[in-house]
Amino acid sequence: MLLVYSWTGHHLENTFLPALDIPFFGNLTLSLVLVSAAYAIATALGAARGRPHLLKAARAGAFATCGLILVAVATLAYAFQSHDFRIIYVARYSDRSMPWWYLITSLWGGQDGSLLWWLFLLAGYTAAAVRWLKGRYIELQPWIIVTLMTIMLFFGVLMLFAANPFQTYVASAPPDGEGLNPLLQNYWMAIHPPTLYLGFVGWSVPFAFVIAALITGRLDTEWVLGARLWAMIAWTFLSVGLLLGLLWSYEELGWGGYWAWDPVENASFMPWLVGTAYLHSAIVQERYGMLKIWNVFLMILTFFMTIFGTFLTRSGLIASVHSFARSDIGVYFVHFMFLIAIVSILLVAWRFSKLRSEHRIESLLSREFMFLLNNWVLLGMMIFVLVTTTWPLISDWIRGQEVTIGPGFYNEWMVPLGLILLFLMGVGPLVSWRKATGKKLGEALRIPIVVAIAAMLFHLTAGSSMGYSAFLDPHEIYDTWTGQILRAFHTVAPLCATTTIALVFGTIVQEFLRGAGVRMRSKKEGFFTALGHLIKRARRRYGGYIVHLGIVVMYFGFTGAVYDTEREAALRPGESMEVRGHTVRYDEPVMTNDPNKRAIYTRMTLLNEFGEAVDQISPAKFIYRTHPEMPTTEVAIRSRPHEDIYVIMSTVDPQTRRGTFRIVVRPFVMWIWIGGMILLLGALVSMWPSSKSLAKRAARSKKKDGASAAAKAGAAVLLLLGLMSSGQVFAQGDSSSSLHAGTVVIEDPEERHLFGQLLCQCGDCARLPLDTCDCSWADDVRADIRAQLADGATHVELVTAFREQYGPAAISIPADEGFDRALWAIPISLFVVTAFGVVFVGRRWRKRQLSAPESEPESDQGDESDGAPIDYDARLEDELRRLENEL
Amino acid sequence: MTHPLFFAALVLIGLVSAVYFLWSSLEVAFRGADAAVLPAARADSRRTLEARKNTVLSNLKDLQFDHAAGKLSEEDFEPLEKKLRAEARRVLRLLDEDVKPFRALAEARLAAHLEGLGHEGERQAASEPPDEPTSEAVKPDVRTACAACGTDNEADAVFCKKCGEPIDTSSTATENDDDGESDVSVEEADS
Repeated sequence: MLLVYSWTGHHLENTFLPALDIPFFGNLTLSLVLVSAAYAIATALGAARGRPHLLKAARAGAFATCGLILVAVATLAYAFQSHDFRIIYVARYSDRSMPWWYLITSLWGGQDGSLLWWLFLLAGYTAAAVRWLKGRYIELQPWIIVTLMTIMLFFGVLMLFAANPFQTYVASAPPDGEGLNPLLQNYWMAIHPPTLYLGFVGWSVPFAFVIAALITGRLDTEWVLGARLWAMIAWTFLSVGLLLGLLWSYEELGWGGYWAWDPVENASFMPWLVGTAYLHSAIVQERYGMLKIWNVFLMILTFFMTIFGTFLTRSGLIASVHSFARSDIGVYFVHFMFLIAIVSILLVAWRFSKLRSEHRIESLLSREFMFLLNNWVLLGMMIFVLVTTTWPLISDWIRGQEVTIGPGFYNEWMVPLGLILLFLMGVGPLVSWRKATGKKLGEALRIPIVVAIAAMLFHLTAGSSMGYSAFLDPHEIYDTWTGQILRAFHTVAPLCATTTIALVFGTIVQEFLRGAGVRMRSKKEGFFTALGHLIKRARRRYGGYIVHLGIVVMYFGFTGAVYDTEREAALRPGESMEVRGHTVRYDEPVMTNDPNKRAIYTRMTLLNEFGEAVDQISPAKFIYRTHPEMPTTEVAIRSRPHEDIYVIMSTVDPQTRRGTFRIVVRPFVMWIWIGGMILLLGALVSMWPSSKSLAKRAARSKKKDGASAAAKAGAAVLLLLGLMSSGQVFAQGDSSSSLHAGTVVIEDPEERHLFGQLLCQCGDCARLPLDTCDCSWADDVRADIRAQLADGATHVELVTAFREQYGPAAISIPADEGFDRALWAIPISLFVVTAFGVVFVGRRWRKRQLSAPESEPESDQGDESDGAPIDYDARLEDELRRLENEL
Repeated sequence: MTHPLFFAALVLIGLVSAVYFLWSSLEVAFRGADAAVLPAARADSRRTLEARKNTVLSNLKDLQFDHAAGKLSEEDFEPLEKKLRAEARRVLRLLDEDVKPFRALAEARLAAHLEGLGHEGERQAASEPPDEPTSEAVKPDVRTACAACGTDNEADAVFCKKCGEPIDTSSTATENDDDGESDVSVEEADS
């Protein structure tokens, strides 16, 4: 029926469209998804209750549900492509002029569609997981299907009753749609949201494993092994999604940075932190059967955070750049989160006795304990971000007062936490499993410490002459002792960062060299052969180290942010400005028109110190036909390994041709992207199937499957690398997203820092910070504050005065007193208290271990029931050799 | 209008697969019990055990590696290694016990089969049945002493593990047959 319509649809679009009720078909499909999911749950429950043959039915039911979800998504895509504007969602997010690829990205451009897209990705994961599970984890399988189908049910219900993408207009359909928001019309839209969603949705599968393990009571390492691959896939997508988010923000949004601690960014960062903690502590359970309850908790928390993050941003509770329209889906999410929490808590309580550790920790100086410390820092960071992100809500509920917390607050506190994490990343791998001695650790640290001291000395001596001074002179954010401590820390932060980065870099490189050295000695291999074999034989370990390396390189890039220099100036054609040794000359404005938009470019030339032209750059503004009120800022970026020159054209006057420009020189930004690629490489290395398992699979399915899997993996790598390496200077972006709005000429970066802490109080500007708000009230206040600054007032004094005048809601870094102090005091004190907790737990474990008698039977060597004794020691040697030979 | 057509085709594919899977699911659900699931369940428990073995073995290897890389002192290394070895032996024994009933079953079937063919007794010891249920067959504990130094070597050893002298393999030829299966798995691994 559909097909027939499509063949002829070309001519009959308007006359025949009503005959085929696409919206009804979509709704019908969604309802069928619910029925099918419920059926799969019923059969899976039957399979779990002693009718194993029903498992096959449940698996097929799960596939059928996924097939129906495909139908729903394809129907919506079809509606977009055929411009079926009877559907509200289609009319709101597309128009007739849009090319087909933007019509596809529109699928996830708005609230309702993105939920359907979410469900679709979940269906993809489910189909893959159920297929993968064939013949494995038979006991867990029914419950895995039940869990995944329940999550699908939730999204199905949500879509049918609260956010229906197939909802139609009551009156007749509009002749044309409103079009996709111009800031979403770029290629990032095609890759960033799907990747991030894949990272979010992916945690459903390992979560299903843990729920299945809890229900069946099979809580040894089985579920950890089963969930391993899936957790790794989700983590990789989440990391890449976050990185693409940084790139998008940096290259498209045009506000000059890559991370603003926006609630949506935080919402995806929190599951990343917990998920990372899980990946580490899972290794401990896998190896030594410890931390069982902790891993169950972390996995549930990771999944919970993905739903919570979605809730935060979708419900419109917290203002954000990314916020979707305020809607009533929040209450559904609250119920769902409540369900997850209650079910998880009950299950854990029920299975508590099975969650005891099999082994005890041997020593506080052991890899196990290092993993515990790593978890402590990661969770500490997560709690900090969580409390700060939800603080506006907490403050509103408890004392009915609105607050806004700007990125300045996060940067102030997260940098020290990040450095602790970085340090642990350096020391952790040097500590051996089970038990290490201080002496050995000292020996292992010797070379990295030398490297670190060398880097420190280099930074101290050569840093300031190269423009990267070792010490800074930061402004206090508080006038209390907390402010002084933070100030002291941030004064030496660059030096600390350099030293730690060098230390970690040294340890990682040393790990590779030492490992290769062992092989070179024992196997008489050449260096590169040894290195290759080393990585091949322990992909996960060395893949993990490569990921660490990527993170170190990214840290290096992040550290560059303390040397950001920015200037803003109004120039006439021919005039130039100078920023951090670079001269930028404004040549002329150029206007172009195309059917979609009007574009104003400003040609500029970059000059070196001898006045020679080095490069041409053209920042621009695009004005889209559909959204003339929303001109987009197209930044021009010139990337070099040591620094990026980032040029934003704020305004240009068509008559006088005078333009205002903001130029930011950002050192080392490129290293963030390079680090990201290293991270991806490491993740792929650790996930890469061993040729043994490939061979097994090939043998099982007559050589066909393995080859295609390898081909698929190869294609995925190429695709991802292609995406990552796609060049620079791509334009687009947003000027009027609510948080990074407006254009204000502020020449002094010090002033910008101060104005960023003060919020506009005129009442109309949605409390924008003064460095971006361009209303007249803000102008007056800025002039006033400039005058006071000139009189020698300090930042803290001015902020305090502003707060006293307009109330605590008027500043973006809540004061360090009274109730507001709890904002940092709660997470930080939790962080400190749990530090003692971690050590205490470790010590207690060890004490028990020391007092307990050796439980391992040592008499099992020659025991055998029938006939000749089996020499298990010899068998063991054989097995070890076999393991050595397996690649 | 090619793009709408593409998505219409996708709708169709989704519909067809959904109907197919629903149909097959209902068919299975109403047809009744299917015995094929049970051996899979057994393989499942065995897989857990194998995973445990691999974990313990890689723990042991890691420990040895850390030791070789100089991260562990001698006095820490020895008791830890001893403990892990004990654990590994325990798992290996569990694996053996796991296949024992199947081994007996297989032998009984083989005997019955041979009896049916009219060959009794003499060939029983010579070869393994082809439908042995596991890939990790229990190796008979036949060891070969090195002619040069007297070290106890594995049955299939070609050179002595202590002194490196070639070992006279002719005496162990019959045992090599028994080892066929584990050899296959190593070859698979190398490919």
